[in-house]
Amino acid sequence: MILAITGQQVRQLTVNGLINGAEFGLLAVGFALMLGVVGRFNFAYAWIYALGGYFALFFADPARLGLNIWLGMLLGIMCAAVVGVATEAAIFAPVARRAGPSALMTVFIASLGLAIIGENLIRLFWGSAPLNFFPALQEVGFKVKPIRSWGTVITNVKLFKAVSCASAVLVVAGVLRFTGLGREIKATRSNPELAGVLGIATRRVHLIVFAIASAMAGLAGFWVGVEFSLQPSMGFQAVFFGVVAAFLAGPASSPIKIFLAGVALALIEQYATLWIDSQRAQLVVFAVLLVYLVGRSFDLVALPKRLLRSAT
Amino acid sequence: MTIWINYLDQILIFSIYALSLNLLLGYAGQVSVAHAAFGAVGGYTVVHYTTTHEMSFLLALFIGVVFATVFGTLLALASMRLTVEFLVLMTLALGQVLIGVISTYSWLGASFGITTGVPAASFFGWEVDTPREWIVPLLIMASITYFICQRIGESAYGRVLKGIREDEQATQSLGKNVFRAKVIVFAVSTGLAGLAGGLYAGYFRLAKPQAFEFGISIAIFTMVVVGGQGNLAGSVLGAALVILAEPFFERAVSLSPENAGIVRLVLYGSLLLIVIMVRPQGLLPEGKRIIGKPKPPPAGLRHVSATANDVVGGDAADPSEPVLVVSGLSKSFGGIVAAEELEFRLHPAEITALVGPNGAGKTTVFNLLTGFIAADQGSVLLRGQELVGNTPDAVARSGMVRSFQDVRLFSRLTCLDNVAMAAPHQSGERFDQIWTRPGPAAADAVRARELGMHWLEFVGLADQALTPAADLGYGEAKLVALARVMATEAPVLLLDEPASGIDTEWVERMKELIARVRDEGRTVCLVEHNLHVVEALADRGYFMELGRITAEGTMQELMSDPRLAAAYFGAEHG
Repeated sequence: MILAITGQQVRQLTVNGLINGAEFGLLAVGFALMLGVVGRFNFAYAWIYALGGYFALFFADPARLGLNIWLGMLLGIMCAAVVGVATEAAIFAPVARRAGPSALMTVFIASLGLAIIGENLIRLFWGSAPLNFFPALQEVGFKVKPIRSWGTVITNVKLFKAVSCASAVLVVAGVLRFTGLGREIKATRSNPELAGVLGIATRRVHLIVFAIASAMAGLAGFWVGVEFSLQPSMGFQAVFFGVVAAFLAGPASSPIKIFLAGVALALIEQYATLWIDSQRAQLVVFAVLLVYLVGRSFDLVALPKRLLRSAT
Repeated sequence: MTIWINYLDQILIFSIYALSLNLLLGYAGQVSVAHAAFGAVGGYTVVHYTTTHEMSFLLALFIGVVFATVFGTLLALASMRLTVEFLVLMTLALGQVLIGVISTYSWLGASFGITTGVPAASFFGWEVDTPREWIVPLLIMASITYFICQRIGESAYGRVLKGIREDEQATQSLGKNVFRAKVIVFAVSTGLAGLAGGLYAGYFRLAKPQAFEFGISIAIFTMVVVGGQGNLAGSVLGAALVILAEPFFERAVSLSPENAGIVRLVLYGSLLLIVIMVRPQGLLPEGKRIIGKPKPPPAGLRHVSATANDVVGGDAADPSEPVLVVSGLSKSFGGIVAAEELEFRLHPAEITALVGPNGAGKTTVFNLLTGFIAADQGSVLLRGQELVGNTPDAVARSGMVRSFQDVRLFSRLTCLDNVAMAAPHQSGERFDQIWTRPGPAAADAVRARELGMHWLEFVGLADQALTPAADLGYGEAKLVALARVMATEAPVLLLDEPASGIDTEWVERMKELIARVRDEGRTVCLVEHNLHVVEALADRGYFMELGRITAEGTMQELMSDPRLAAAYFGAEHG
């Protein structure tokens, strides 16, 4: 079976991995910002991702508002950002303030509740059936075309998705690196108390971080809607990959590093399909995570000693 | 009618799930978002063995529980040092992998599961199939689960679990083996989840991936959080609320089944969110019951004091022999030397001060002595016993206990529980002894409580015994922390800034108490910024600068040396 692998196959999988990886990487950067800077393990991120797509469709679909699709995309991203900021301001921040030392856990539970509510609100408003952007795309004369090169085939939509996601990460990395806002975000991430003492309005930084992260999710949600379709539960899988990538790279790492972790995960998932069918390939990603966590949890050298001691 | 019996059965099954998760989440503060997946281990085992191997239901159920327990033990070993966010991720990934792997095997029915040919369950030859017949066995199983969780949660072992929830390191500093406690609670919790899964599979006569997926784990999580973490009755209530939401929306509000399902999910998400926002402790909050018989403090407290003295054995020790001998103790982090070739001794029934400017490494010394930081080299001999290389809890059990600069009381436990937990040799803290020797365990619990009252009285806070530690002022908290280290009965105490940051009235009281601690025959090592306190108390002192001991002598000698005074105050004020 291994003998049957061709160079062409590997190239195609590499291209697929890079395209998916751009999306996972983007989501990983957004999740890591919320966790690293604000301290929120935000499970409802998957909902924000789906919302970006659904709002964009609401604005762009000829049967709804019928705006230009690119304008719809921008509005969808903005709506995602607004909802994201609202969740932080109205739910996570008050919950965290009350919970004190167990804030991380409590916010996680709140975000679980929010994710369940959010997904099912989408079902109530837009229905459970998949929706697509074809009418809206037709309106502006956009055609899905294959792009062939290097012996591989992808669609132009996929290419746009990957380029948009990667560009967004570059912009965020640039903001963090070169602007005053970026310095404030990094200062809040490394030492919130000190940042507060230095006159940084950390509450404002938190809200800005949620705006940025949610806008990123909205962008990814829109492109995946164009690439495939919109579904109420579409965010879970993609965001989970993003979460894994964020943890593998470390939530306080630079956006570029986190992004690359997302790309690496997607490549691993794609290459795994050489040996196992694509449904099971996701398991490989979880397995990578498990191995990483186990390795992180205990250095194997010290284990026998610890066990011996606990027996006495 | 049958349909309501059906719901009752489901409430019983999910009560078992919720109780098992509550033990883990509510008591021990550990997270699992994969409890349904542990149920899958039990469920698939039951269905596989009863169907393919024609095994009896009870035996298959037992095997399923064993498998789930083994699984939980492995998970616990693998996630020992993970913080909350990593534990969430770990259990999330484990649940996905487990369900994913199960659904790849065709002999387990692949992604459809095993839904046909599953025989009806039987208990000791009594076949149960209809929902009505299931009520009694499920009631028995749920009661047993409740009993197990209750016995564990309300024992001294359960108090150690709560200590782990509140502050793992502080629990360890009192000599509790948190490693073992955590592994056991994971094993028990996942074993009981396996029981729930096995009963679920027997009840519905099927095992399929959808019955144990992530969404079900979240439903179980919701039951525990809504009902109240750390309250067992709350978990049963939570299970009933979540299960009964379905018929409520289908019948009472008469929505179409499809919309009812969606509205139900919205509402139960909202329930979770509202409870977390408005009443984070849940509908039924954790009780403040004291471990050990709730009776008035015994009259003969002075007697307890005398026995405490005997245990310490301070009077018998030879004052010329040092209790603790530290030699060549070194530690560096990367290139930064935190402690270099430390040499010092603590003499019995004396107060030895460790003074020096900020950043000299005094707290690091305490961390090194007690095993919270592993030394690179050197030796720490406590009455001739080498401590380097031991875990912090082993060091504490050997007879040297430290306090923390930032107090670190168990904030949601009462003052009495904070202090009583510190009592040594409590057989009720041993998981096996809760079951095999309940009598001595209960007697120990009473003894620990008396000891706790005694030391609270010693620091003058007996009237605050039932106050949660979180409600104390800073000065009071430091006094309770002193009572807590005293209750360990350790002959050597390392006190980290006991009088810093508290009001003057408390400082005088603390000073007086520490002097009494020495007069009882205990050996004290003191790190303290308040020089007035140090000068009044310390019999001798060591001066530390940049990780090295640069002088030793009486406090007068140290403080009259102009160079040391300059080093101390120069760093303090410059």
